[in-house]
Order: sequence, then C-alpha cells, then structure tokens
Amino acid sequence: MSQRTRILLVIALAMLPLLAFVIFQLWRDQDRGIQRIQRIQRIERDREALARAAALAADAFVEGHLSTVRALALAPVIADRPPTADRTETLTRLLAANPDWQGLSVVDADGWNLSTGNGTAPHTVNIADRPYFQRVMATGEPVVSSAIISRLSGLPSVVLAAAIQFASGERGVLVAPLPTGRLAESLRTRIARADVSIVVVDAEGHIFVDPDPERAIALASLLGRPDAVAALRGESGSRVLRIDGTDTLSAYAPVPGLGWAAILTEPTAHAFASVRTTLRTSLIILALAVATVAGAGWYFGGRLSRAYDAMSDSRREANSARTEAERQSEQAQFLSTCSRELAESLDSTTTLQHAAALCVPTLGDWCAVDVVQGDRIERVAISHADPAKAGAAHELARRYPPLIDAPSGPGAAIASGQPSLLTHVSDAQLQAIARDERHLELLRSLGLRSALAVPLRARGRTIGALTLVLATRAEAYAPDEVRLVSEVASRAAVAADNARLYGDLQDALGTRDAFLASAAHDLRTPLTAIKGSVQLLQRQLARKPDDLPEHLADGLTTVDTTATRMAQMLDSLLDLALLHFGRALELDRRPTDLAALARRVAAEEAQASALHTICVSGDDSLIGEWDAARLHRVISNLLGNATKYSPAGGVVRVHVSGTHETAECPGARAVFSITDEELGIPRAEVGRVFERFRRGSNVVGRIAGTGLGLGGARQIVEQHGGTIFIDSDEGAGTTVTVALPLRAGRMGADRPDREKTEGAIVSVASPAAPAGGASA
Amino acid sequence: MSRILVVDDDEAIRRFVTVLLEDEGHEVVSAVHGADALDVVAADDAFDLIVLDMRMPVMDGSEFLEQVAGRDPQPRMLVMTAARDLTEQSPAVRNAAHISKPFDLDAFLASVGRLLDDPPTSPDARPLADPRSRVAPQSQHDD
Repeated sequence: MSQRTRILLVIALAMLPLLAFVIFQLWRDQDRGIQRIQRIQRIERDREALARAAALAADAFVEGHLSTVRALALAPVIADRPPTADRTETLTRLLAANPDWQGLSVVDADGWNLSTGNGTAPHTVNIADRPYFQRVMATGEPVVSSAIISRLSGLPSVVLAAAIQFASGERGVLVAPLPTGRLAESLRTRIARADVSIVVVDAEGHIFVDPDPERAIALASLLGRPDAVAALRGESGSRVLRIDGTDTLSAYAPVPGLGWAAILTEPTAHAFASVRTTLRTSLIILALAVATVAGAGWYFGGRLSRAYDAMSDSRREANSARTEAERQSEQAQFLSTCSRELAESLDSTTTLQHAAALCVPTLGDWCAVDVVQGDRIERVAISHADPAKAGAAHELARRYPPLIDAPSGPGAAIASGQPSLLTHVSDAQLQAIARDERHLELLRSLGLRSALAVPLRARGRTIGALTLVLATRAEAYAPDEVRLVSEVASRAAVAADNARLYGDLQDALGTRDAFLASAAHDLRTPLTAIKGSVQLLQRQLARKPDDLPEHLADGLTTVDTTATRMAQMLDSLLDLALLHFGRALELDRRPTDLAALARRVAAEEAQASALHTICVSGDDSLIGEWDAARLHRVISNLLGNATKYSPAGGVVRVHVSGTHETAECPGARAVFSITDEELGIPRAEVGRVFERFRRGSNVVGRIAGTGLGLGGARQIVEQHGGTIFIDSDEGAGTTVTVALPLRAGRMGADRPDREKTEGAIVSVASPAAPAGGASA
Repeated sequence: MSRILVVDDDEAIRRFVTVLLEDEGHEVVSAVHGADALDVVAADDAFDLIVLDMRMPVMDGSEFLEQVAGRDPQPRMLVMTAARDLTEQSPAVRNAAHISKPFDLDAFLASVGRLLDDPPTSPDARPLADPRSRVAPQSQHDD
C-alpha cells in the first residue's frame, strides 16, 4: 500500500464521522424543515390573528363612535325642529366630550347643515352629494362613509352619519367626521408591535390608516394587492409579498361590519427572524462541526499517517534488517559448513567433488567443477539434485566436455577470471550451444534455464571453474547469489590448492626420504667393503702373527674402528634428519643388556682415548627392551663428549643401575649416568646444549665438534620414553643422567607429548613381529 | 664344505666375502646381480647357501628371491642389506635371514654357520632361519 493511498485512507476515515454527521444533519434538516414550516405557519397564523384583532378593534372603535352618533341622533335635543340655539350649544358640548370627532353637525334632508358643533354657520355646507348622506337618507340606517380627506383638517377621515327623525317629522342626518388618526393610534396601541405596520383600507381599497401619513392622506389604493383584495372579499389570512422591494409577510382580515380590511405587514426578516436565527445557528453549528471534524481529521490523519509511516518504516526496516541478518547468518553458516567440509580431504579432486556436492541443491539444481589441465578443461566433479538426471549430466561431461574457448560457461569464466552468467536460456540458445543432436537432447533433458560459472582462483591463479545450473527456478542468479557462489568457489579453490600443495609436499617428503635412504645405502656399501676388507686382512695376518708388524696391525684396527664410527655417524645423521622432519624413529626394540652395552662402549672409548680412564660401576646385568644400536650411539656420544671435553684426561665414571617395579613405584626403569670432572658447561647454557648445532660457549673454537650429538641422544632417549638430564657448571665437570623404562610405554605413560613415539614403539616392539628394524 | 653363491654388484664386497668364505673352506661362486645369479642357479642349483645383496642393477635381490621362491629344495638365503627399514620390502625379503651392512666378519661367519647347520627346507615351509637370528654386529655378535 503506497503512502498516498494510506493518507487518503486516513483522510477518508477521518471524514467518516463528518459524513455521518452531514447525513444525520440532512435527515434532521428534513425534520427541521417541517418544524420551520410549522413555525412559519405559526407565525403567519399569529399575524393573521393579529390582523383579525386589529380588524375587530377597528370595527369596535368605529362602531363605538357610530353607536354614540346614532344614540345622539335619537336624542330630542338633536331632533328638535326647528333648531334651537340650545342644539348648537349641545353639539358644541358633545363635540368637546368626544374629542375624536372632528365635528358634529345636524344636516337637513337637503344636505344643508343646520347646526354645527364647531361654529360653522348653518346652511353653509351641503353634503347632499355625499354617498353616505344619500345612503342614510335612503336606508335610515347609520352609515360609516368611505375614507375621505376632511375638508376641514385635510386629514383622512371617515364620516359617521345617523338618521335623525325630527320632531317635525322631517328627516335629517347627524354627521360626525372621525379622523382615522385616532383609529390608527388606537390600533397601534392595541397591537404594540414595533415592526408591524398596520394598514386599514376602506371597502374601495383606499388606505386611510397607514404608518406613513402621506399614504393615508393620499388615500392610496391597495386594490391591486392580493392581500387587500382577499381581505376585502372577506377572507382573512397571510401571505408573503414583495412590497417596495422587500419580502413582507402580510396578514389580513376583513373588518366585519364596515367592509374594510385590516392589513398587518411586516418584513419577513423580522417576522421570521426567530426561524432564520435557528437556521443560521444550525448552519453555524454544522459549519463548526464540519470544520472541527475536518481539522481534527486532517491533524490526526497527519499524525496517524506519520505515526503509521514511522511505524511501518521502522517495522519494514526491522523486517528487512532481520531478513538480511537471517540471510547473512544462513550464508555464513553455509560458508562455514563449506569451509569445514572442504578442509576434510587432503585430495584435490575429492575436495572439488565435495564442493560440487555442497552446492546442490542449496545453490543450484546441478553443479559441475572443471579444472584446467594444460590447454584443456577436465570435468572432475558433477553433482545433481535429481539422481535420475545425474546420468545425463555425466554423459554430457563425458561426451561433450566444456571447451576452454567457449563464449560463456566454465571456459569463459576460466579465460576471463570473472563469473559468467547465463540468464533465461531459451531453446534457441540451447540449439546454438549444442554440438549435435544428442548434445541438444542432453541439454534439454537437463532443463537448463540459467547458469552461473565462477572461476576457481587460488594464489592468483585460475585453476578451474565451478558451474551451477538452475533447471527448476525461473529467476536467474541475483548479484548476492553470484557473490555467495564466488565465495564458495574461492574457498573450494583454496582448499583444492592446499590439497594439491599437500600432495606436492608429500611427494617432496617421499622424494627426500627416498634420497636419504638411498644416500645412506650408497654410503654404507663402501664402508662395508672397507670394514670387510680390513677385517679380512686382519684375519689373514693373524694366521701368521710372526710376519705381522705391530704398526700394520694397529693401522688396520684404526681403519676398522674409523669405518665403524663413520657408519655410526651415518646412522646418527640419518636419525637426526628423520627426527628433524618430524618422523619418528622405528625403534628396533629387543632384549638388551644395558650394563653389557655400557661396558662394551666404554671399552671402545678407552681404546680410542689413552688419556682417560673409564670406570663402569653398578649392576652387572640390566635387561630391558631397547634399540641396542641406538642406545649404543647414545652412550658412545655421551662418553665421547666426556672424554672430548676433558682434554687433559682423567676419570670418566659410568654408573648403571635398575629399579624394580613395586606397588608404590610403578614402572621399572634403568638409570645410567656418565660423569666427567673437567670443563663442564656454563650453568646458564645447560638447558640449551640439546639444541642442534648448539655447543657450550667455553668449548667453541677450542674443541672440534658439530653440536649434533647431544640433540640426537636426547631424541633417541625420549623416543624410548625416557629422560635425559644434564647437571653441570663451568669448571665443575658434567653429569649426564639417562633414565629409560625397561619396557615400552611405561615411563612415558603419563607424558602425553610422547604418544607419537610410543605408538611407533609399540608397533615395532611386538616380539611376534618377524621383521626387524635397523641395527647399526 | 658347502657350496655358496655370493651375489653382489660391488666388486670389493664380492671379493672379500668370497675370500673369507673360501678361507673357511667353502666353495664359492659369485654373481654380479640377480639375473646373473638366476643363470648360475639355472645351470647348477646345488648351492647350500646364497648370500644375497639387495640393491643391484638388472635384477635386485628382492626380485631374485621371488624368482627362486618356488624352487625345491628352497636354497638357504642370507640377505645382506644396507637399508635399515625393511617394512617396505616384500615378505620374502622380510622373512629371510639378514645381516646389516656394514658388518663384522665374525658376525657374518656366525650367521653363515648357523644357516648351514639348518636342514634345507621345502618351499611350503617357513624359512628355518629365525629372523631373530640375524646379527646386529655392534651389539649382539658373539664376542
């Protein structure tokens, strides 16, 4: 879901309550409309009632005056005939009593005024032409005239007229003009609505009561207006009209007895103000609600959107980080497995076969490893996820080996040193690659869809290529997969290269061992001839002792002894070389008498050095399982050192003793010590004289030697499971003590660093072994 | 007196062994390598002992041992070898009596004497000469 969609969704969600509110308002508005109409109707009815009240008030007002006028018309003082001065005075008094009236006159049948309350001279005014006069004369009923403008005051008025039956039998009319100003004032007092204009029109539609006096004076006609027309027809009601450009509520009612109409007008703005206020309030509330909801929606929508974004961002980041971490962990684990398994074999081809097997099916459906052999490529490993198709993969490798100059695949990877990626391989491409029909058939059956060949590089050299093929997956290798495969290939290449180097090293070691053995063999042959020939001469001369000159016999003995020493040195050198290369000596253990051996070596050394006396003490016989020739060398070396480093001669003591195994002290052993009394070794250097070519600093340059002997002696002793210890100080002589277990493995049993040696010893030490080892 | 065939490519060794054995009263025939020895044996197989070197040109001692392995009676053998490690040798070599080069003549003669004292063996039998009887001249020869 995109950000935009989410924001829109949030806004839409925020708008939902608004929509609900609007719908609710619409629903309520329908209801309110009705209410409004009802309220309008109520207002209209109210105004109509008001109009009726005004009409009744007008009627009552006029009727009241008219009743008075009629009553006065019947009064004898008015009806007296002929008129008297009293009558005029009476009229004046009556007029004063009824200030609403503008005048009060008695008119004769011809229309002339007979007496007037306001001082008008008799027979000066004739009203015979007036319709109200004629009607009164005709009907004898009191009449209220239509609206007129009073000639006396210029004000709109109505004339109240009542028939008079004079005592003389003549008829006359009592006339009282009534200015409508009083009526208007009365009505306004009664209605008491500031905004309501009260208009009263007469039966002809002329306005004679109006808030605007000008209109009343003009006696403007309202006959064109529907309200006036309806009212004059005797209907009461209300309607909204446009009057003088203003919407006006007009309520009207007929004035019953007079045929007039009372019309109350009021601008609708006023009349319906309450309704309008309610509507406005609703609109304001609605607007506020909409604004609030929209604002809140916008604000919270934004907040929510941001919060959601932040949350989804962090979740996405966390997810992607976790996925990445998991992927890397898997890759690291896979690579670790690869490294471990690839290191298992020390054979180059086996290592590459491991690599091919490891890649399937994790990295591809099948995998092939090719190595460069001169100017061609040889496929050394194939692994297929589907065993049924492995045969096809093998046949492909056998019949159509990869070409080194191919534009893609292993050849290209080897040539360029870069990964070669084939994506979305089409059948047309397969046809292009195929060398013949069978090749194409094989390629098709293997279902090659995409392939990746990465070079196998080690120590800057491309030794081959690892090719992975995807047969079931549609997507080609992604860049990170290419990197992973390259990493696997790199490790496989290094492992294979190491295996090859190991093989080379083994070959070299074999060659070296063979050379050593051969050199030793070749040197022993002339020594055999020398010793044999000399001893033969000695034997032949011994048969004729008289002929043998002593110096000749001595010379032959010296040649024989020297040849023997040379043979010993040769064996010693060979042992030392083997030990130096980490090869255990093959000890030729057999029952040997150490005491006898020591005595013999002592005798030999004594013969070689006339200056020294060698004393052998201790056990007469001490039998153990040892390599006699090598122990001979050890003792000979130690005795040789003892005599060599006491150049002035002296006594060298050899002591041989054995300990027997007891319950308390397991491991029977032999101990022999050789002590001289001369130069000694500086104490600080004692521990180092076992190192090869290392000699005491006080003898270097003074006494011939190679520094090889003591190291070899220690190696032989330790291979026997024994120990060698030197106690010496410069000028204090030297004691070398050697301890040897009587049988293999006893003394060294608690010394783990001797295991290799012991293994070698045990394998040779069996008495049943028919083969013997070396003897010097 | 016994008839002894000495097989060694080294002339000096061949000569002193021949003289030594002749001084001891034996009849000695020599051969320079295995193939030569085979020819000698083919012509005249009446040898009581064959003293055999191991490393020789044309045919080495090991191959010669294999060639004569099926003969009846099996000739007694004393193998002279300058090699120290016999584990890589064929069983025929390992089972034969040895003497390591270089050797003292006393020890050599002692070994020859012991072998000649043994009765001849059939091919099926183990060599009568106890391999342990081979001599370590510097340590175990009979002084």
